Amino acid sequence: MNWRALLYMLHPGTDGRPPPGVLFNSGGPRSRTRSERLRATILGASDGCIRSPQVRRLGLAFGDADPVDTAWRLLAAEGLHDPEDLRRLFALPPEPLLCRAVPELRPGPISRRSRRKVLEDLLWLGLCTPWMFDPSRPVLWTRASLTRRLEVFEGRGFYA
Amino acid sequence: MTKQSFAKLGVYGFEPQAPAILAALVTGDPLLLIGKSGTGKTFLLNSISEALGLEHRHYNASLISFDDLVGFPYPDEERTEIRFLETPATIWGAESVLVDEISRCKPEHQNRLFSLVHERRIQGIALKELRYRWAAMNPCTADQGGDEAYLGSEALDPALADRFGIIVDVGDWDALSDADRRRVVDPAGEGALTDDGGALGRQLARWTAEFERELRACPPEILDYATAAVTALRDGGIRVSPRRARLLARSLLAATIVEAHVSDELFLSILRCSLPHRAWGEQPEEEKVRAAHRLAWDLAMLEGTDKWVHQFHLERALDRKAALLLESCPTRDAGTLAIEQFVSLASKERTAAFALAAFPAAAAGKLPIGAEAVNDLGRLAAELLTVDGEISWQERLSESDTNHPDFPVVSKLLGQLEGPRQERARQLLYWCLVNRCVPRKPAVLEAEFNACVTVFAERVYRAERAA
Repeated sequence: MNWRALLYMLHPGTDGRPPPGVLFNSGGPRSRTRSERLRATILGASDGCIRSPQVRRLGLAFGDADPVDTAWRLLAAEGLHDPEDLRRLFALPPEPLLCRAVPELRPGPISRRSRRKVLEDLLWLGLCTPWMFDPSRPVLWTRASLTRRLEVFEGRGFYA
Repeated sequence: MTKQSFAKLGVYGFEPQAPAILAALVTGDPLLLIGKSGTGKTFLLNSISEALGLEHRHYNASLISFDDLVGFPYPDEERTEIRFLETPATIWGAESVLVDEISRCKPEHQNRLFSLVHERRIQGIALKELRYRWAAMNPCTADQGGDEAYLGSEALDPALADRFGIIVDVGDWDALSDADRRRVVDPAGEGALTDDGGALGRQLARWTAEFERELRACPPEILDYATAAVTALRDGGIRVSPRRARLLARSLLAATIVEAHVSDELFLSILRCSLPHRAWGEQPEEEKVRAAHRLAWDLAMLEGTDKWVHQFHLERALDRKAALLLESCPTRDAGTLAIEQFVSLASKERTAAFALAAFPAAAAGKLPIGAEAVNDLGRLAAELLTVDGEISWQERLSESDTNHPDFPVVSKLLGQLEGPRQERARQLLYWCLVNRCVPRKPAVLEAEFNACVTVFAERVYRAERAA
């Protein structure tokens, strides 16, 4: 159906002429939307003026198992009863560090890693928020904290 | 910056009065200078108009007749309206007007000047271009201390005097520093037009834009202060009109923008400059003014922790906020409260700039704030430490390879920077692009951000290294 016929149906008696004040959009859009991805980071840089090298990548794949139960089971298997005891087993950086969430990180299943390595990551994850690692805070094991996938960086270089 | 504003125009000795005078330029409220002859009142105001490139009129009220002001009246062709024969001296089209010797004009002229000062009108006709209304006078007869008498300098009508937002006492020779005395004496440059390369005009435009923005929601501390000060002055027998209370609040707001900080001294000086009594020959008792200020300041700023949190919010400059946090934060709880309120109240881009500058220090435990505030800063800063997003814009079908409209401005600014400053600025400005909040003047935000980073770097890390 052409526009003249449509107009006649809507406004009988106009002979297909647009009534005064009626305008038609006769064409397509006169502009298009352009977009561009913008990405910039100073975390992980070791060649710029600001140096914040990566210290560690953290991420554990628990499969179908409950992360918190698994963490406590591994702790007990090591003969320990409190996540804080892990501090005696692993050396931690003395100062807080910066974190970046990396959801796309795909860690291997914990069943393929040594218990000690997994416990070390569990300790680190228990000391991290999505934005920082803080060795002075208590080790907190929650589903959220243990399933985070993070990259950890030194932050001092920011004030270069 | 503000202290030097007038020295750059070749006008010296006005440093103490600079915040009040600049505040009047920001508000656009009428400004009156009172001082002995030869103290630079007229020179200052004429120099400001030259520096701002204004269409300026300078009238001597003691000599002027009303026809000089409006032009010679004549009927139009239909004989239905009166028109005025314009000359270069008539007021039509003026952007700034200086009524010199306003205290020496005839009473009937004072009445006609009233509508000019009060409502930017003359003969009932609006002067649409008129932005600044300035006047100058010698101390009036009733107010002359010392040995110099100004015969004919009469008290202004209080109704006229009350229209001036800022009334500044201009110092004499004794008030000048040694360096300023030498500069004043030096005849070099006499007669040259004042030209600061547009610096004052640009600065004023920024301040005015900020003033107009802030005016929509004047900080409660300023309203509290103005209300309390006026009440206390009236209690002390110094009458201040309700209109004056409003002018005081406007001037305080403008002065805090000009000075980019809030201080006891600044508020006291603006309060003094808001009292019109000198223009009609009264001198308010200094003790009463100080007492009213003290009462208002304490009421507005509260005490202890609350007072500090208020000060933190009234500070506009990010670097001053950083310095306040590092130097005088009374407790971790106060620091946490200040950060949480700032994060929820400030504009997106300023919050982001502060978070990026502060978070690395906060994460390292170097700031007097609690875990909640560190978390708030971290949440914001995480998006800036790694920016990853999309920008989009409209492109005409007839065009290709266009850029986001803000991108050239950001690129140019980044190109002017180097080293770590450039790298940090890139994070901030790219984030602004992705979040569609690039400020109108990105360079101003970047400079403030950099100053804030410098405060944290110097006071936290360099001090630590030195120790």
